[in-house]
Amino acid sequence: MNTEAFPRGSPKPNGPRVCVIGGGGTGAALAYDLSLRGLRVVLLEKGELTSGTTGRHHGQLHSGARYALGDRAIARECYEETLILRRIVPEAIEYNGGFFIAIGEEEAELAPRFVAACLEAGIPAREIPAARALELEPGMNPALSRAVWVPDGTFDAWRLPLAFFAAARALGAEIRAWTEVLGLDRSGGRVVAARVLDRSREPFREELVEADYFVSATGAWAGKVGALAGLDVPITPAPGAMLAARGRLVDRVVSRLRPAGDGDIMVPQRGLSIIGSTQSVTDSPDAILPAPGDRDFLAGAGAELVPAFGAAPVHAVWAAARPLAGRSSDEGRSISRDFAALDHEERDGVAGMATIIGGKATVLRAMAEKAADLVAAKLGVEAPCRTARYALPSWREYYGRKA
Amino acid sequence: MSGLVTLRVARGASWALYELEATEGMTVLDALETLRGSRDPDLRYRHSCHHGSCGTCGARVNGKETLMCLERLDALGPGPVLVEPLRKMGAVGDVAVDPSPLFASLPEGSGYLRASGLEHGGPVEEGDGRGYRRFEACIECGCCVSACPVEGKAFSGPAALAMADRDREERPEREAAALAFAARPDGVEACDSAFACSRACPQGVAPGRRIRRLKASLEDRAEG
Ligand SMILES: Cc1cc2nc3c(=O)[nH]c(=O)nc-3n(C[C@H](O)[C@H](O)[C@H](O)COP(=O)(O)OP(=O)(O)OC[C@H]3O[C@@H](n4cnc5c(N)ncnc54)[C@H](O)[C@@H]3O)c2cc1C
Ligand code: FES
Repeated sequence: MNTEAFPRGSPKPNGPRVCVIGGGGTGAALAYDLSLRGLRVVLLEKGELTSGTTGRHHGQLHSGARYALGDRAIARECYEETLILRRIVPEAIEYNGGFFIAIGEEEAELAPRFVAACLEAGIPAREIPAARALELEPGMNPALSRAVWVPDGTFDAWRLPLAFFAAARALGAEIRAWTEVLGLDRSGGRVVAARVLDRSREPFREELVEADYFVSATGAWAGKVGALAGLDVPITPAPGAMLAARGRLVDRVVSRLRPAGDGDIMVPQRGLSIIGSTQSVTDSPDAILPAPGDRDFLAGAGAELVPAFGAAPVHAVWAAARPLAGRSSDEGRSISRDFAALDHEERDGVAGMATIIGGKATVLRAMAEKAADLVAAKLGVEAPCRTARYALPSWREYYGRKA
Repeated sequence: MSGLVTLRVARGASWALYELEATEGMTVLDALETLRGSRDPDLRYRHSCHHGSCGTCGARVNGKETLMCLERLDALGPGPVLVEPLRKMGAVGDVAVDPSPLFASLPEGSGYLRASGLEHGGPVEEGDGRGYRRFEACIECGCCVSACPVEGKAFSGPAALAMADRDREERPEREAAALAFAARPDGVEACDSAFACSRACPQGVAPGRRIRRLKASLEDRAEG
């Protein structure tokens, strides 16, 4: 598909009004998608934009290879989305590819099945002789016995979603940071207004935001926000920790060739090498800090992938809460990485609201497309999704040039 | 500094005082997160990546520009920790600023990808064929702008000028645009060579040195 210039100077949307709750990547892409379809958008974010899970994630632009053995459909979607993002927001992506490396016999045996699964999902993975792989990426563990090249990359977890915010605002969307939803009012079986506290200036103000439709894109907070409308939203906040060491030790993303587990991906970014992650489950996604023990575990796991990581100075250790769709009694790994747009009219008999949950930062545009399709159908708007078509404005435009 | 820590956080013309139990490795940002999550939902500060990459958490801690997510409490020594917003930005409240002045100052159309700098055996076998790429070191945090002592005259500032210089270095086709940007009345001429920017930069961009390079190129051009 060709990439067209961003449609500046389009007429201001004048369709029905949609309120998006949550200013992470999903909310950003949704505000943009809805605006392109001619809907009037107001987005509410309780803190600064991307201060939830978006921004704090590992930064891996997922080719989908990691999910290929488990779920081909998710893997295929990841790859399709990476191709789109590389077209529409190239400056926010370090696109250098990745290696899955096998250490030990068990992992080596997985290689042919792994490559086959990737190819079935449309991901152009290929095995490279171990010696050649080490020549290409000398920082990797020399004990590796097999290596598979995959089209992974790194993206800037802040700049990429901010480019979507810049696009949404350029089309007339009202983006309100520092504005927390404290309540959702229902009338006649329908969500009709959000009660908000606006902390963007003093004195703080309570206000009623009315809209024709509400979408909660609140990630790990979706359970809490759903409860404001009396809805039961199945979400499991699952914190994970990451460790960044100083020094760019590799250019490609390096992953362990084994079923997804803890501490098995290293993502280079600028002058850092970042290992992640761990996974547990929690009730509240606010103020998530690393757990004791995360630091040592991650430093050790990183050194297994890239030996020099063990001696590199620690830059930062931090954590974020995954918004896993569904509920789980174990540590959460068994919950699917898929996403869903929940239509609360159909599910719970409450009209006027949907929740978009699950997914990954890499598929933010696809998540938004699915949610916006639902919103458009509910509001009788016929415009199709066009977010894959246009190059996005620079993230700098969000703050640099006020609409 | 492990154990009980006192934080003095700017709130309008005065301060909000907090005491909290600092855990091992806790950063100033972790402390604010803990306070907002448990005691003060009204506390405002910007943050996103928590590892020194996005540039949103710039602030003045004990009078010095820094990234709050990298500033560990145990490195700050005894006494209350003073947290104030960056200077020369728009106001939101508490530690949070509106970075519009910074972003508006940046030269338009500057690229953000550069050669990775890592040595590899063999040719590039994938990617866009232009070699391995990484983001610029500058994270557009505004620490240099806040630290710069130049006041009372129009000045595009250290972040913008450093970006112009990096841009022409990486993309020679942008040389003329970068020099034109530097030659404006609010460009390198307005710099007092205090080098506070280079000391404040958390990413080693050394804007002061970059401004000097631009000055030298403009002088060469004038002489040439
Ligand atoms: C450890 C870890 C590593 C990860 N690594 C990767 C990776 O490498 N690649 C990848 O693609 N994905 C990764 N992910 C997944 C990715 O981070 C998430 O899927 C994605 O960021 C979710 O974005 P979101 O916009 O849906 O949610 P969020 O970014 O959490 O946005 C929700 C927003 O809603 C706001 N909010 C909550 N309540 C309210 C309210 N009452 N009123 C107003 N606003 C409210 C929050 O403040 C928040 O900003 C990782 C996740 C974790 C935890
Ligand atoms: S939060 Fe991103 S630089 Fe500190």
